Amino acid sequence: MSVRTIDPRAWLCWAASAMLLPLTGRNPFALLSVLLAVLAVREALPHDARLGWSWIVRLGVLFAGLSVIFNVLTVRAGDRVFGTIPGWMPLIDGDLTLNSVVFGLLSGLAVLALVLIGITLAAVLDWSAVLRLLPQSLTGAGVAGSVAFSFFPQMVASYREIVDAQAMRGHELRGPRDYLNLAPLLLAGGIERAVTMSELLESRGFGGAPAPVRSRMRALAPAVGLGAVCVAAYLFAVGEPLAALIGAGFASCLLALTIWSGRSIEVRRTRYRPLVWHRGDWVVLVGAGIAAMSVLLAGDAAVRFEPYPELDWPVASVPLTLGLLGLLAPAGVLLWRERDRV
Amino acid sequence: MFGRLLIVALLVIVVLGDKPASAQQTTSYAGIVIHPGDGTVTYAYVPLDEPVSGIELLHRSGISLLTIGFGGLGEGVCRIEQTGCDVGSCRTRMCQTGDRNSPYWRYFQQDDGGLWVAAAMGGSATKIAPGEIDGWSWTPDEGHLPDVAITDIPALAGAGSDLDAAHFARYDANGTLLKDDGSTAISSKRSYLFVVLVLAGMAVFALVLRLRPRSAA
Repeated sequence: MSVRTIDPRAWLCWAASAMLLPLTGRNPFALLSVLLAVLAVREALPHDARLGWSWIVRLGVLFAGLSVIFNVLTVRAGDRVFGTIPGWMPLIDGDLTLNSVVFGLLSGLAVLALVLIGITLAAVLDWSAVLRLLPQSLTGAGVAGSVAFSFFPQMVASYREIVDAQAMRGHELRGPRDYLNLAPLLLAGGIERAVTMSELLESRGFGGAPAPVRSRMRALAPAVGLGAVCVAAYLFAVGEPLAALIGAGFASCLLALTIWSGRSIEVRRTRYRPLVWHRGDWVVLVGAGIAAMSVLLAGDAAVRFEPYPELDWPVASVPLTLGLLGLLAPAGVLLWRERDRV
Repeated sequence: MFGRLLIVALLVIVVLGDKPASAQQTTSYAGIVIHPGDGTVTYAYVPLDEPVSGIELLHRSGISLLTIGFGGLGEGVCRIEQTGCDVGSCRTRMCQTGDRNSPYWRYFQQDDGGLWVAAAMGGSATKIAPGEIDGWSWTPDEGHLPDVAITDIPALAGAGSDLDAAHFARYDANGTLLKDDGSTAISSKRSYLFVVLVLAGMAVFALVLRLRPRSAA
């Protein structure tokens, strides 16, 4: 079975909806809802789609642990003191509080949820289809983004290949010096892949269109627009919705200008197999929409949780929990299609 | 003759010099006035034997407080009671937004005439002695702190006869004492039960999916 039976646009909407809560709040009930929904969707994927990502999950757990330690050692707020670091230790001296442990754990949980959403999306998404979804004028940025996104996984795969090849020859990695010797091999592999990639792009006519004559503003519009998107996302994440909205509006204007100005002068791209939107995609889209709306409409207390200065019980919002069940929609669709195939 | 004059002078010095000392002993406490910007005012009474920093005084008052450390610069006040911001905003801009007129917890002290003036130093760098009053106001400019004398603090803070412990009391804009009705913001037990059941159901669903027999990929 192919997990790409769900439209990439539906997957993108699902991921955006799932990321909304970990990016904006720390309510433990809501975070657990998202985490469990993402885990259920991951479990609904075929076995091969879930392979090879465990190291990222371990990395996420490691960062979650580091988040707890960093928070406990640097934050001195809270009403539940469980220990004190003596004054002769610079920078980290002071009271250790249970409040900071809780905040660190919740931040770790949010990071873990984001990592799981990211790797689920990376496992199921048909990147070539996503690239084809981009407007013509943004194809260059899309290709560059996909190359950048695949850099790290490819480097890890290359590292494993080198280690396996050396193990077959009886070479064992023991100390830092052994790992240091891997660097030139990894670098050579990276350069080789880059050359191959550039040849592939060239052979497919990437960048082969005649250079359009544009004003400086139009030439800069795609880069500034994408930069504004990043700034808007950051502003939204740090709780500045109005500024984020203004940033998003500015970005939309620039990207619209980019698309509009590129229409008439670039070579038209054709599609051999256009994407077809199925009923299951509607289910995923509606589920993601319900989850996103429940997060946006839920009050601050249901989404955010502050263990400072007093550690109190978090708000348990029934509407938000029910709304977040919409994130399970891909699991239902995948199971339904799996049943049809049996 | 000179010896007698010296003794009389010393006696005068001792008698006159003793007066301020005894006055200080009667005020073995300090006060805090807090103006959260919503018209209410909180008065705090803190028993004090030796000078402490403004931040330490706030900590000792028992008022709900959130501060973060800025290394050698000391601690910054993020939230007092329910007014202020969370750690993230506090660490970046001390609760201020991009607007210069957005409020933050500003620190004030009384001058010799009892007028409130913005403190030149932060709360960690000051030394508050018994008999002094500190002021904190959620404002970008003027403190809007009420005139108050140190002798009024015990009564305003509701210390009563229990002068060995810290006390604080909050008043509305009309000067009426606000009482804590003890209500908490926690959700009902039914909500907790329902949400926990839903989470347990999702966990079981994920587990069932993991254990289900799979067709060949």
